[in-house]
Amino acid sequence: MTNFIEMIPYETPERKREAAFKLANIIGISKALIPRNTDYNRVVASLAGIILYRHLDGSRRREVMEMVHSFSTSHRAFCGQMEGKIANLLVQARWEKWSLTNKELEEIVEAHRKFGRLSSIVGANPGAYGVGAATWSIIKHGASTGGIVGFAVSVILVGVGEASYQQGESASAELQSRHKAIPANRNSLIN
Amino acid sequence: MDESYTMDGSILRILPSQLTSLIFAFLLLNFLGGKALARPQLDGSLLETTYTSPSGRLSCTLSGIPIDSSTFFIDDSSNPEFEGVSFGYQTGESYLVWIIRLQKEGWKDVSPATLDEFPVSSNGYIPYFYSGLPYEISELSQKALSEPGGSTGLLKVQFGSARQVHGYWVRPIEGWLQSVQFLPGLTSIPNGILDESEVRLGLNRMVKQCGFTLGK
Repeated sequence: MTNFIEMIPYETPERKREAAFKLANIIGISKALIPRNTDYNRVVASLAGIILYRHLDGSRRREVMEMVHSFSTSHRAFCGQMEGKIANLLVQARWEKWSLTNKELEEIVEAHRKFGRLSSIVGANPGAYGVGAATWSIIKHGASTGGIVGFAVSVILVGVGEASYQQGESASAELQSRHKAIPANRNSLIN
Repeated sequence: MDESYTMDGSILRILPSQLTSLIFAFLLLNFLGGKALARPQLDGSLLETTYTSPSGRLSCTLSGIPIDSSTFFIDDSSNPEFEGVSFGYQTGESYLVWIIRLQKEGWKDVSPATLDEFPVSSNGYIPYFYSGLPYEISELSQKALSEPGGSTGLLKVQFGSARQVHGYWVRPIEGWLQSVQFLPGLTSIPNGILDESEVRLGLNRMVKQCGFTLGK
């Protein structure tokens, strides 16, 4: 049986119960759904297998799915949400940041850093200037069509800048949380 | 001089007629801000029972879905070429999952395990999804939609002693692919296995309740 927990890029507590809660939190499965009074090795192995799923070959994917389905009778919702997480990964590789390799995360951070650099060359976020100007124009001249369109476009520009910043920050935070862990789990598969 | 700009001391005077515009701008800002804060874990928003993706291209009415249930989950993802939302909940012995997505046609995805590239096309959309799962799949039914290239169908899915019926609905439109997948969890409990009519009902429910808007 593959030791998936040794391959993930996260440090986990020694006690398997705590490890299960930590991994469920990373993946985004509610604590309330984690089975109680169970063999936590199985829970941890299933969650670790899901983190690695995108990077596994067919036989290891089957192994993960067998572990996931071992909960289908006793813990239907826990099993169902794990299946849902796997489906998300298959639909869109970048859906879940915990499934990305360090290299993929670094690419995301770099892409958003470039976007941020461009904004700083233009002078902060151009959308923010637009919002200020359009709001002032609406106050001054009333809510004309032009004023509202200008306001809406500017708000969208601010939103694009903010979304890019947040995605970059999120990827960066994810990388940092992994960097702390790598020495502990030397066999990490997703570097 | 227009009185509205006049400053009396340090106080800006705003005429009552302009106050309406100011309130409008304030409400719009609050509305947009509120959307972003409604569900911080989502890229899009879930206001009451309506999910809307960040671009507004994809929206689903989740009426009838127990969004306050402890077994309910919702998760979304978006980038300029992809928008998707998945959600699910437990009912009786079944765990029901829907995945709704809008994806740019022709965009290549890469499987890290094999480094194979997969074209996103109406023919490859569903087979690519199932190629990543160790399930045995057989087709129960398939029907063309009235739109060219669109199809809907049911699949029998098996993994060991667990089985289930899955449904899909896909259509290409203006360079995009839209799809609704209904994926009840596999189970070996007979009561948890949905029959074809139940799956068709679950699939069509979200085909009706989810809207796609292109051209934004």
